[in-house]
Amino acid sequence: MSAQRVAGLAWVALVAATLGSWWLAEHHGAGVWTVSLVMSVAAFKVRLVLLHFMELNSAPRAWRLAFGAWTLASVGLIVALWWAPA
Amino acid sequence: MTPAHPAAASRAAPAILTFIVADLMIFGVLFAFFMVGRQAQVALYDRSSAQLNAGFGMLNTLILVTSSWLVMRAVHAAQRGARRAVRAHLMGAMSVGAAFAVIKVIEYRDKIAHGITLLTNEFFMFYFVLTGVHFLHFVAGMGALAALWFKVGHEAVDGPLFGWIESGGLYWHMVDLLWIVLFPMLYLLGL
Repeated sequence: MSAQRVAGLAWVALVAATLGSWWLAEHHGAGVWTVSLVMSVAAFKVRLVLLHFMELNSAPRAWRLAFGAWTLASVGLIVALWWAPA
Repeated sequence: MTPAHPAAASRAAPAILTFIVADLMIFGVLFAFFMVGRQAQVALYDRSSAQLNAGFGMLNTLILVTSSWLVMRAVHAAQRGARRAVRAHLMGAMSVGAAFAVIKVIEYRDKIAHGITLLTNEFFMFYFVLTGVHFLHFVAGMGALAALWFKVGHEAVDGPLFGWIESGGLYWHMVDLLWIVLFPMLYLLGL
């Protein structure tokens, strides 16, 4: 599959994920797990941009790790602090 | 036409990636401050967040991912040395991207018209500062895309200019991925 085609599919996935998680959040579709699910979808979307738009999979591995770590840390802290009691 | 630059895999990562990682880390710290602030005043934050228009935020996400995709197509076209296609895709990316600014202005004006500013409460301070700083990044990115569009009109896209096109593209993707996190964090946590 060409890089162009993959990027096109990634765009479709990004649009679907955006619409889906927005709907989920608006309808609180997963109860108390909604926020965790929505943020997980956000992390997945970031990953799509990193791998298929920024083509990090053809950059040296250290960069992939750095960006991946940022994604996990950012989304992780949002989810963890959402759950954490005051 | 064979591109002057070798395949991505055998090249060193562009220097702009260092800047992007640093910028992402700064935003990460801001996210942490926001979430810690929220933890101390959950009801206030959720109540305030509910006053935002999540539909607009979602629309802005769709706009940026589409604009990002068009920039990706511009980079691919540059790899092929297809100058006209590069310009067309860059123009497309900017046109779609411009809609982000329109919605942002609508949102800000609506808030201010209802007497809501960054001084209203802690949530709205974060809202205006985070989306405002992001918007500045957006404006810089649009400027970069415009500058590239002009240069592509005068220079070969598979020469030294390619590096600039690629870097501009990477920066624009950063603007996109920051919003992908900002949107749910600001608009969807309280729903």
